[in-house]
Amino acid sequence: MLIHLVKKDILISKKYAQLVILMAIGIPLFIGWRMPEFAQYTGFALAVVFSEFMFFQNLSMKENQYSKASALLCSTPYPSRGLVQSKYIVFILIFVYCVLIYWIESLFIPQVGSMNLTGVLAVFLGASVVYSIYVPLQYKLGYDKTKIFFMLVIMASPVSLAAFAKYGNLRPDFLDMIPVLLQNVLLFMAGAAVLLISMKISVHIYRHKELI
Amino acid sequence: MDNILEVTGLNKRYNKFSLTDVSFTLPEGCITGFIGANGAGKTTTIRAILGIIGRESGRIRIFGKDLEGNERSLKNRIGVVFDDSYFYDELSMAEMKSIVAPAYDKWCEADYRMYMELFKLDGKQTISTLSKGMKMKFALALALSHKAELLIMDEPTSGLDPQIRSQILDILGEYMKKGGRGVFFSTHIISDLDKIADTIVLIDSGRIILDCEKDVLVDRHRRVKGDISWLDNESRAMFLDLQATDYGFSGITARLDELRRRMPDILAERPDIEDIMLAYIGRGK
Repeated sequence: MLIHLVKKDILISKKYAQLVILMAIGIPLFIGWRMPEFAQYTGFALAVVFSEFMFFQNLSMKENQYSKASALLCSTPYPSRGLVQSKYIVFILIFVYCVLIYWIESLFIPQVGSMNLTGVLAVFLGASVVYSIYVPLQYKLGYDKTKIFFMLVIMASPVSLAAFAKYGNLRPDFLDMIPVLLQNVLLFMAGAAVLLISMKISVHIYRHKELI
Repeated sequence: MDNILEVTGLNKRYNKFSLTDVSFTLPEGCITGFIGANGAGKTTTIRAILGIIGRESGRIRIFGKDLEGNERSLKNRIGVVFDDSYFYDELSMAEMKSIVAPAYDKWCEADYRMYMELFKLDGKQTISTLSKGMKMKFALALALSHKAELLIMDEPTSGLDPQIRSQILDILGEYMKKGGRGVFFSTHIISDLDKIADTIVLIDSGRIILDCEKDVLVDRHRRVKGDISWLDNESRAMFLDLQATDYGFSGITARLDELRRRMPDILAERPDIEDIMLAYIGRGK
């Protein structure tokens, strides 16, 4: 049943789904070509940020525009929590797609840069934290009051990620003492935990929300 | 006869409006018309029944089971038609169907295709390009294509031309021919009730005023006319509404026998449902 709700999310934002497909391919290539010093993590992170948040922004706008359609779906046997859970599954699907595309590009185009699993999971954690804060807020306050949030994230990400890549060295020294495998497990579990907690909060908010 | 739908003590509060102790039943094998003026609370009641909006208190039982705790199994047996476009208008009808259909265990593609053909709808057409009547027909096709035993419809004929209204009402009549079903539809178009409703529930300002069989309702009331000099305070109190001029009076009453004892020469005629509805609503004010 959940797969049909995921399909619904993609259908109602199909134009942006097509854009996601192109952005995940194009952004790392563009960064690798024009700003090779920022290739690798920055290119991948930008692809994730733009793909995830632009898609979700559009999806939220459509759901706000057609709020009565959500009410119709709630009158069907679809569980209301499914309408929320599908948003998180779409987030994971887009992320996995970005990873796959970036990996394929890195195999054939060295300028794109290469990434290790730790880097991928660090981006996963960062994106999950932002997403996990925004989604419950949006369910609580509504699309109109929160749409500026993602716009700011999308606009600020190129500058802030480039600055981070150039000047930031937030990797604490103690991490060198932790085996890489453990680092990866911790990063993955932290990202997954943040998403799960956010999903539970969003489901609770949505369940008590007046849909119309 | 079992009750398909039982609403008991439904309360819902907004700033400037509330549903107060809304209670009624929908018997099996009946088409129940839910009537009231604009803003009376018909749509709010239907939304509360379906769980689209919350409620302060009240119990909803469908097919003898509480909606809470049995939502999935009960919603599988309910077809819903709303008055406005409750679709993603940018999708085609086929795409919208592909979202709705998998929700139902008993979705029947053959029935869906039959209704789409009957209504002359092309699944590839985008919903935003449909007229109001076509959207209503599409909503009805979706509602009737999963072997629903209860149809809940919110003003399904509102804004439609007489031909489409008649077609929809005929389809409801056909739907009821297979036993064990029920239809609950809200409307403010009285002629629809005259045509197909078996029972009538009247709501006004968030309160249920009437809940009875249509024929009994009409039989129990009369429009009474007579000379103004026959009226006194006691007889005035026996009318639900009363229009009086210098020469005569006309009013709706449910106490014809008592009035005849007091005024043997009055004229009595069968009122319309609309007359009865307006009389009760006017009395409430």
